[in-house]
Amino acid sequence: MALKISNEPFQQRLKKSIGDDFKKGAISQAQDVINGRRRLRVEEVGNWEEWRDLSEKIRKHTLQNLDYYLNMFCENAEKNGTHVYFAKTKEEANRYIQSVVDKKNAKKIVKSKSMVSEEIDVNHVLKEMGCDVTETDLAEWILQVDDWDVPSHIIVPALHKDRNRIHEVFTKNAGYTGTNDPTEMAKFAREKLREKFLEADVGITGCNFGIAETGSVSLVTNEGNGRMVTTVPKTQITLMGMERLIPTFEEFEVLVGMLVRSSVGTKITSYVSVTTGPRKSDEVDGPDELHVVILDNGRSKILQSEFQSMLQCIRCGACLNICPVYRHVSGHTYGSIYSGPMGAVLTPLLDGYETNKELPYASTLCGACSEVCPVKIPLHELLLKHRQIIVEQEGKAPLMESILFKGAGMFLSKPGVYDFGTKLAPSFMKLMSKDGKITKGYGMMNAWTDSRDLPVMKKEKFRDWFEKRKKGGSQR
Amino acid sequence: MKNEREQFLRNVSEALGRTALPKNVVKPDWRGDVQHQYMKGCTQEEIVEAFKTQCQNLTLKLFETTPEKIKETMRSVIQEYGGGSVIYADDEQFVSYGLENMFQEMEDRHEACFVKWEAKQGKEKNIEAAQNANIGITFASMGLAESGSILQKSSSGCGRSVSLLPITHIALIHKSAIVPRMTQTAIRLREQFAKNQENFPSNLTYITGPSNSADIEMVLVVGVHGPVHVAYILIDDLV
Repeated sequence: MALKISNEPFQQRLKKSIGDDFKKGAISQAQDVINGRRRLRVEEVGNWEEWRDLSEKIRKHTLQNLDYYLNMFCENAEKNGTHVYFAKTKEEANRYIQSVVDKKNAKKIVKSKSMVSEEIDVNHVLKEMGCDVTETDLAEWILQVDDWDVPSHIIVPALHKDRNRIHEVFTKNAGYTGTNDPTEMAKFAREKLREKFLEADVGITGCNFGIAETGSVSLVTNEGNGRMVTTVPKTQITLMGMERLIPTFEEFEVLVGMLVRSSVGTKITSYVSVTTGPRKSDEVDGPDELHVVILDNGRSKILQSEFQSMLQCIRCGACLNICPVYRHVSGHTYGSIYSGPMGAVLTPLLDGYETNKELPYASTLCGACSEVCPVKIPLHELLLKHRQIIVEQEGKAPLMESILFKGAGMFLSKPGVYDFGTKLAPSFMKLMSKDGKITKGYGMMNAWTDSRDLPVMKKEKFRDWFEKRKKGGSQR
Repeated sequence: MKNEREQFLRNVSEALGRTALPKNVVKPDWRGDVQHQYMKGCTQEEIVEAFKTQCQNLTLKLFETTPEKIKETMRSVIQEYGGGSVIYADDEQFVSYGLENMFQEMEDRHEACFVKWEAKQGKEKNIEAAQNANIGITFASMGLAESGSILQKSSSGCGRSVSLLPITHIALIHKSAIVPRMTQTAIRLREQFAKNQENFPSNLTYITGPSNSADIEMVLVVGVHGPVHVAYILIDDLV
């Protein structure tokens, strides 16, 4: 899968998701559960705002000196015996990974969750080479077994499937014979994947944070698949977005705490592992070779733009879990591996406006995302910035909005027309209504009435009522 | 490679509005910040109590013992988790606490069978032993009161597999090694790295309880890829 998970236009994706009641129910429930837990952790900490300030400072300091820290990371990683490769584009990254796999004559590859690996679509490249690629995160394995279905959440990728669907695909595609009990199905996955771990030639991982001072890479997981991937295979390839860096262990520990509290609402995950170089010569497990691929793929452009603060993101997903729009439209509507508010900001930056111009509008600008962000990215302001650019420079506002605003411009600039129109509207609306509500709209009204009823406009306009009230008329 | 790196970094420098890498960057000092306030001024006993409370909150199995009683405790914990085949780290402390002798006695009585992680046996043999083990036993280097975590470092005597592949992981931890939170471990790890980069562990993992997942309908499942059970044995070495 690449950054984009769908070729369908936005409206079509939206229609599909909004009509899927299970998906909507699952997402509402997940939002409530995760967000409830997150809130508990925030209350427990007490001085959460101070933690957010500190985290923002750490991220900003790192980004402002990113060239310095990247160089420091590279020097120390090499001293530890790590091979560091800098990839300007996803093609470069894929070519390098391909060359490593080729050199090792590797066929069996196990992966732990990595958003960058999705961004560069390395699975596709590896499969074309004839490799057997296995995603080992439980949710990602479920998606793989279901014919490489697409993720709907950055932390809980298979959120849109219920146990029955999972049972069905396990039975049909993986030879499972048990019940639909989650524990039993997870046990099945454990056994199946344990075999894969033990026979794998190469392990591919993502990286939550790179630590510059020690040249280390880290993984924050609950299932232990990240540890498995970095224990058994002889070769480890770790993919890291270039902004995923922090100076030292001191900054690392602060951000790990913020990440875990914000993403799953616990104090820490089962495993926080830090890998510093390949195994030592006297050690017997761990990789013989460690390759770290650092990816730009448009990030340096973001760094010099007014969207720099987006690179502070630590991929916790808290903004998805609070967003009222994500709740209703689900991850798939965003058409990108990055969904929710962070996805609506990031996807157009990485992939351009052309096919993503609707994303910044998939927001009510309520600002809840910015409020929960542990590193204080002003997400809703960035969404607004996107809209400004789309309208002003690119002239690519979604068609509906262009018409709407053109019409509104004409309408509002001529008081006579406005007055006449608003007087006439209630009568027209009444023609379409039933019991004071419009349940089936036409044209642009569709977008509203597809998912809810539109109340009919009152005969008496607010302005008229207000005028009368001033004169001591109707008090209503 | 050198060339690609230089170009890549130059591009980042330019994005930041400069023509070359900064010579020196002074990192802000965070030592007056919030992370250092947690349990500040608390006694070691209070920190240990907080660790125990957090383990309780997580329903994490914790057994307390003393250096004198450690053999007894270990024996009963191994039995509680079903004995069978046990792998333990090649760590001098297993000898000094008399645990290795006790393991031999257990084996003689057919209560369990023990394998030591031995680097000289090579990768395959060791991994196979860990994969077939019901229990893996390690000494952890530090504990975190805030989150009930332990810090496990890999070494030639204690491979990553020992605490990962068996069904149950038993970790021994000294009371004196419990610190308030990750903050204190970060400072010590930095010091360790500064002193001797070559000896810095190739892998270190903060472990908190058994592996788990909520990937299916947000239902918590315990025991996914890592151990299904984790038990801590807390050794009272405070005088």
